[in-house]
Amino acid sequence: MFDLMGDDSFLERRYLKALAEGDTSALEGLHALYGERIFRYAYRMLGNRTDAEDATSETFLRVLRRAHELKADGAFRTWLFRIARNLCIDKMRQHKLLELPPEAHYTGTEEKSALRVTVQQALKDLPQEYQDPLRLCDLEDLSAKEAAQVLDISVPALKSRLYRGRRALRDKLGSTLDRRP
Amino acid sequence: MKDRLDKQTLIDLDVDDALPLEAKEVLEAELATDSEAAVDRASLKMVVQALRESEAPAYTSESIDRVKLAWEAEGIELETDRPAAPHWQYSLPIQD
Repeated sequence: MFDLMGDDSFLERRYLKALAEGDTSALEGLHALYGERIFRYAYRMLGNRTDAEDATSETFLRVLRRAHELKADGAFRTWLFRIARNLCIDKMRQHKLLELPPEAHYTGTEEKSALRVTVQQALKDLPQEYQDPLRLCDLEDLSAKEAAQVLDISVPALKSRLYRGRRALRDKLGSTLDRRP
Repeated sequence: MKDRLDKQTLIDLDVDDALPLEAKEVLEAELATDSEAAVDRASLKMVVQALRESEAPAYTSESIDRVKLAWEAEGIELETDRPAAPHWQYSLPIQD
């Protein structure tokens, strides 16, 4: 019913309007637009598939519960990431998920896989205030303005944390970077 | 010290692809004579590249099914359970 046009913002408006009018099936359309990105973001924060699925599911359930308040004014995407982030932080607090679980392996050559795990682990070891901008800007490709909205901070503050975070990550990775395949 | 900080800011902006061309040229000239700053920029670029190359976990059909099952458990009616969309219901008859 909704997937006839390619323009995401047009679709986003239609789905949000449909949801506000009580058509819960529009949730599937929003999920088609943003589900993968939210899952990926949650997986990278939580490090395991089950929790990432839970966080993704709950993020969209919250969209449904607040359907009457949501506006397609360009801020929906950042709101979605903010909800996902808060849910992930709650889960991390609940389960104290500090270690990279065994399932967080990736395909590719052995050297590249090792580097990816090293990068992910080093990222997890950074203070949360550095992790967030790196995840949103460098991994999820959000603009500085969008990432600042997700984190509810100013753009200069976001950039400052992003730049410091990159330097901190570089220091943690150390010589690993020199051995990149 | 101030000069070093300014250079660092330029490097950060450059790594972020946010440096105007003119400023980029100024930075390039600076880095040609400042090997420490050149290494700083190169290593930061490597960090960003390593992050971007960090492969995304796949959102598999099994994961999608589990997410949708969780919604259904909350009583949410999904489009896949509904009758066919109008553009299928009212398609033109096939002509001989």
